Amino acid sequence: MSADTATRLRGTAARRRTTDRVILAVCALAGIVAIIPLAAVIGFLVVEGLKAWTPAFLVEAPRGVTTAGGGALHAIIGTLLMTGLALIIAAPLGIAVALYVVEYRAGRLAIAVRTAVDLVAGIPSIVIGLFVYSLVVLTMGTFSGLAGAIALSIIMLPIIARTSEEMFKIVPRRLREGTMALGMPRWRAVAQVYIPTVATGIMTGIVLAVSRAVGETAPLIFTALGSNFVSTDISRPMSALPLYMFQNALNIGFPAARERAWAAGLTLVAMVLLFNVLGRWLAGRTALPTSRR
Amino acid sequence: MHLDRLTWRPAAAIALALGVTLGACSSGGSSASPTTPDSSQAAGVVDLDQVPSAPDYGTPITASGATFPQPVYETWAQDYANQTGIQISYTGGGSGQGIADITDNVVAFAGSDAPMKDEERQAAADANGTEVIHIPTVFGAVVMAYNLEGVDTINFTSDVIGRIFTGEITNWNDPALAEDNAGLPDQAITVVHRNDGSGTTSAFTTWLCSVSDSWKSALGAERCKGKEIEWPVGLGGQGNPGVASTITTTPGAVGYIELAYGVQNEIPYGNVENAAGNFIEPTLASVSAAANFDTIPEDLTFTASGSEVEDAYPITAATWILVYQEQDKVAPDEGQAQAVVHFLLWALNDGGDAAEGLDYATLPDQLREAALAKIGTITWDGTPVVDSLY
Amino acid sequence: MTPPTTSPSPSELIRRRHLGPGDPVLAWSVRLLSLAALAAVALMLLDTITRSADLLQVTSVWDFLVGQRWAPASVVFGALPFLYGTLVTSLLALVIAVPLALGAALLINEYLPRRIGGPFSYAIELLAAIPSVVYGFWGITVLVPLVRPVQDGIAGSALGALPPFAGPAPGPSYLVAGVILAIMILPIVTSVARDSIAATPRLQREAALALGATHWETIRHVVLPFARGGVFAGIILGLSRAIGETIAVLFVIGNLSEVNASIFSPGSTLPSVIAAQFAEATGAFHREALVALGIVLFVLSFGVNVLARVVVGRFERQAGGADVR
Repeated sequence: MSADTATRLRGTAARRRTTDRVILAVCALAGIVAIIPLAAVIGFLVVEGLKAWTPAFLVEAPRGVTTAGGGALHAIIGTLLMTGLALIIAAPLGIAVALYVVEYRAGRLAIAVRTAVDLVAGIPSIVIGLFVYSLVVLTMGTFSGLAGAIALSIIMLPIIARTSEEMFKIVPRRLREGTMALGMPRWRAVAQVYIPTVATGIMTGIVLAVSRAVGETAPLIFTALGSNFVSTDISRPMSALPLYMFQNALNIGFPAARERAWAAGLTLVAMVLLFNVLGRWLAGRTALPTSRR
Repeated sequence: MHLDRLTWRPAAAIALALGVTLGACSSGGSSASPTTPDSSQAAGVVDLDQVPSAPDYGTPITASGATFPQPVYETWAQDYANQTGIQISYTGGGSGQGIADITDNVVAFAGSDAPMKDEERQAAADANGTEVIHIPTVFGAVVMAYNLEGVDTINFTSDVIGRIFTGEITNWNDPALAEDNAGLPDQAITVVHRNDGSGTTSAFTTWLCSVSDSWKSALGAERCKGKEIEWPVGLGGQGNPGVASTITTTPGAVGYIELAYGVQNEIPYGNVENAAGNFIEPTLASVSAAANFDTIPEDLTFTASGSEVEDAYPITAATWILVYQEQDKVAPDEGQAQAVVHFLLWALNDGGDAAEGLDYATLPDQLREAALAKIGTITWDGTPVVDSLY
Repeated sequence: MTPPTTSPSPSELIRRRHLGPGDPVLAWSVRLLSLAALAAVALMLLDTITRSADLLQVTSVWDFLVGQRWAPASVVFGALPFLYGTLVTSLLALVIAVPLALGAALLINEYLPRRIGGPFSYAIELLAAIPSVVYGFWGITVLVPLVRPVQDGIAGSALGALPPFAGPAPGPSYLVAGVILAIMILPIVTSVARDSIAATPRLQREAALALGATHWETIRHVVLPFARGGVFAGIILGLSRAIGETIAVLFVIGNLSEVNASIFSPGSTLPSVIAAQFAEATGAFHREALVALGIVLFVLSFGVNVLARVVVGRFERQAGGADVR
């Protein structure tokens, strides 16, 4: 090749290398910018939250949003009660739906159910709150923790159903064929083989659904309403941690409310992250090879 | 009303017998003959100025509504719970929410700074088979809060306020403001108003509509007042707290909030010119001065603003508790009706100190007596609930 | 084995997989529960539609959708301000989030060693777990005061002459809402992009490298074309999330029921106005109108989700069955 061509080629090579490095820098920048919000949110939450947070916050009864002092005991109890009840409703339903779609594949009903569940997954949580308001609150004649739990269960259902469906789908053929070879009735196969095999995966779905439900505010505004007293009565209005934070956050003009909002935020994020990390850890321990990792 | 008294008289006779016994034990001053229907006190022998002992009721009671009195209602609820063990949770949300909730009968009582309109009363009565009654509780001031650094006080005339809210006056250094104030900075005005159905808005705009021609002509006589307004300019806040927090976070903002929010959130507020031509600072005294009435309408609803008294604060508003008269038609059990009535008696008799501590004015004597009498008309199965308390 | 004449043959049994009394119990209980779930969903939809049907007494569907004025006090209901707000904020969110997500995804998959890339991507995914009320509160206390001088500055400068950048800029705005939404959808878009980038066939990648391509050239000519479908699906998933986000937007958008050209202006979105106004919507037809807005929102989300499915399906087939989930 001529010296001219060689020079040109060398120039091009250099340009290509530079471009390569520039792109690397751009991606690095993007990555840093992407992580800044997380750092900012968690950072402020920790700094401001710790200023206002004391262990008493978790066990003290509330006073009122416009009044100074008071803790979040009612909100924590409410979150635990409503999420727990929602779980009791949503988990069996979700697993049943997934089982139905995968095991009893035939029929329009299966398709209808799957479509319905997908539909629900796409409904914004505030719209779900409106639904439950007119179906439950107006019928019962009162706002209630029960209505809140029902709203949360509707949000949790698609998550549990979808994860369980994926799990049931990847039960290995060999396992299925083994149960048939042994002459196991289907119900036995499901109860004693399939479910235990995918139990970890289903647990992941459940934990992730719980993590989502714990953080939801919009569906509770019109259903559980919130309360200024500690109560375990689900037939009456109930508070919840995100709801409590929301009500205090609306009142940030009051210094006491502002502090309580930060403290509640810190508590809430700690709770949610705990569940989330737990869920992910469980996912990593699945006995079966999943499509990702 | 008269017919009602005649029909429950037999039952009342028994209750009266009990009442006389109790009355003899508690205090003097309660006397009535069992057979004469007394028209000045709705419930025979009972003296509603004395708070009876609390009923035993363990179920939490829910109430919602106006954010205007929320600070005082929350304090009352806490004090009341400490004294009697009855839990009343007042969750705010705005007068509109209170009215919606009481119409749907999902709360035991509601708070509203705007008396219910005729259509609203009709809707509630149709839905529940009984009328809503209005019990006035306290008076508060609607103050003009602002966010301007280094400005200690501002004098607002009604004309200026009207023109700010129509968007005519857009900067703090406008000559109209300079007339009554020295040294206001060159800063854009951001109006803040309510987003939601608000009794505070109703009180504010009712006054503004009557005193500001620019406001009235900009929106028309029909649409210039009410709980919800089509605002020409400005940001919206959720409830009094929402407006308060928007003002504190927006330099150059001005908005209308209840006095307690201004005081507790440490937001500066201005003096407003009243009908007598004086710039009045909103205080407990000037609000109380505005709260005096000669004649009281039968249903206890009225407009408190625009008082002509010398040192009265012009934008004064009363706030009411809305509760159904025939509790057996709406309450889940008699215990709740008793608890609600007892709370109301307690609030009007013993709640004054807490209210004044938060700069709300209590009812003047005549109005208070009328309110107590109104409470006495709340019935369960035809019998006034107060009879079972005393 | 001599099967009794009245019972089915073994092959029949295997085909029907009915080998004991427990099977019908399982089959029926699963069927019933699924039916219950289906019935609940149908009930919800039916109830909503009937509740809002009354609205047709005061406005037509068309007028409702394109009406610019939302004035419940005058019984005038036009949904355009909220459709516009939802559109603008979601678009802003995508414009901000997608390039960042792509860059971050490439960084994690292509450039970072696994030891750093793993925790890094984990951290980004944690963003998705933070509840929206926390974002909203952080937004109004930290972000709005931060952004306000920037907005003011731009609106006051020469750029402010252009309608999208015009003042006044009081603080809460479409832009701030867009930024918060971008933060919230970043994890989804990044995660899906990462998956599809990782699914590029090694063969193709190695072929490009063997031909002497630089890393970036490999990415540009091999990886991105393959990952296109997945990335697009991720974008649509992010869009779906942005459309339905209520609480975070409520705090930072200023709640103005109007259409405004400037991104620095306050506004409203479909979910934010429902949350803001539903509780005390006592006026005539106000509640029905808000429920109708809920239906519009639902139809919008549903449409976007269906689109996501279609796109994923199409690109899944194109990429030769590569798993882009």
